[in-house]
Amino acid sequence: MERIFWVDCPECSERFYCNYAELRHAGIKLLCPSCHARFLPDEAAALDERESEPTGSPAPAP
Amino acid sequence: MAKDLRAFLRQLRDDELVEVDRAVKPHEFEVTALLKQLEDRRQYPAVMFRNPTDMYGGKSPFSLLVNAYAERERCATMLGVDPATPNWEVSLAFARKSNEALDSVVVASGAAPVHENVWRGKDADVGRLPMVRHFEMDFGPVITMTHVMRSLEGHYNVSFAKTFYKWDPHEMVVSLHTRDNTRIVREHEKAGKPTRIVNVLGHHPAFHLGTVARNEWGANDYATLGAFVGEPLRLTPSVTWGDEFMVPADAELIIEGELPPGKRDLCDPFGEVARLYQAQCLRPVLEVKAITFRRGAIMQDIFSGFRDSCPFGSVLKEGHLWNVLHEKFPNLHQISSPDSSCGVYAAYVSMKDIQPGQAQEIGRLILETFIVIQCVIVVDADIDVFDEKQVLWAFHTYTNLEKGFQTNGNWERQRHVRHAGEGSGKAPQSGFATSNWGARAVIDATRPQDFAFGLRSEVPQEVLERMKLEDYLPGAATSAHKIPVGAK
Repeated sequence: MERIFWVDCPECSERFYCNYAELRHAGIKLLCPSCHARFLPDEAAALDERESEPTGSPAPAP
Repeated sequence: MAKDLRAFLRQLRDDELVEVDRAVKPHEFEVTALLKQLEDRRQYPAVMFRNPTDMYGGKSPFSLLVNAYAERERCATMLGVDPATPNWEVSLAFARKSNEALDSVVVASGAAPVHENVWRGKDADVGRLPMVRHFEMDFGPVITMTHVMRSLEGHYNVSFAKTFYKWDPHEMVVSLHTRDNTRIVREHEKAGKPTRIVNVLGHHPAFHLGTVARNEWGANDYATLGAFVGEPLRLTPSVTWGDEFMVPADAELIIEGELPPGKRDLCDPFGEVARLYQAQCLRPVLEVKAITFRRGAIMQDIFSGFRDSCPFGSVLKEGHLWNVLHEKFPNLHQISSPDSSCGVYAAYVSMKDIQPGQAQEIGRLILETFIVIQCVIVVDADIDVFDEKQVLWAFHTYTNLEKGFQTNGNWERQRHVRHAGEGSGKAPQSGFATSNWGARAVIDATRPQDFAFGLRSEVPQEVLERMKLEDYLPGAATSAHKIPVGAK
């Protein structure tokens, strides 16, 4: 499953998400779709980069 | 008279094509706001916006057509099938045309409708197009139609890819994601060459529908698309590269451009066909060289994730799976990829006289053939796979959840699509993959045969055929959801 991370725009507070592999640590400024502000992921007002649990593992016993 | 978009529109009934004369701002969600309300009312006409604005707020020189694919009856008309039989017959038509090819014919630029108007240099301003911003979190206005590329070996590939507006008259970003056009870009970049690209913004709808057919690498997509349209495509030399790159002569509107090697910019989010936003990412930049168009040109757009985009996934899956599976499974009856999965994630399959183990076997092959499918439900042939209520009835009634429901996190050929914007990693595809878990399911919802089991209730067929509804309840037989919403 593709990993994403959510950011809150530091200018307008609107949220959107980005491709983790390409943009989280690439030093590239993101572009807010709402207000067109440019900012680095670490400059986001909030960041949610939680990862999913690994898939394919056996289900826990009931 | 060539088979083009206008010829197709002339075939439609008044209630299949409605026109909006009032000005609308496509880049401020006004087009999708109207389409969403129609869909909520279960009304799915093709909608022609005659006075959309451009990116500067002025009147665009182009009309905008959306929702052309939102009814399978119209897809039937596109493919030369009787619209009274819009389900499995459309799937089979797609299957047949996928295996056919018609050599294209060349016409001189002066005889090509798409060259009636040519904008080059600073006149080639993409801001004049009525580009649609579809969904709240979208990156911005976008073009949703097909691109033509040419491999270094010389074959033409035609595929869907979104082209994002960058608030720049001469540069856009192309969200490439299909295997072949990604490969073409990679090979050009390796050779240090720009990739030539042509965005076809309007043509006979079968042209666009046929682009999702699964061609082998090296196949000439123009020949396949001739089979879909129903006659050889007419091609003409591009205005930028001449006969080194041929373009569809009967297109409404095209953009000619180049992708400089290694040049990337941000694009997305975009509300994808699976009804999830694709994540912001880096993709190739398109430098616009020319815009050419017919007099009174119509630009097409797809209402992604809604009924308008479903056939691009569903009809493809149904037709291609038939081609792949019907010889191995002579008792295969029909296949449907339902709108509830946006034509992406699910396949319903009906089998005649199914044999023990066949449900799991055909399910596994379907999951291997289409890596985006997450769930296959196998039913008996008396269940109409195009009627989801019947399929779910079979699931709720027949499936033994202990034995008939198999999941597996290790199906072969898990996602391995690479993007032009990525390095050498095996990253999965954006958007679709956001909900594409590793584990996938095959559900055997066929009636148990290995022990005494109940029978589905039915009204006798002979009486159904004798008792005509219109003889007893005049007016009740008309289709309730096809209420005209406007006039041509």
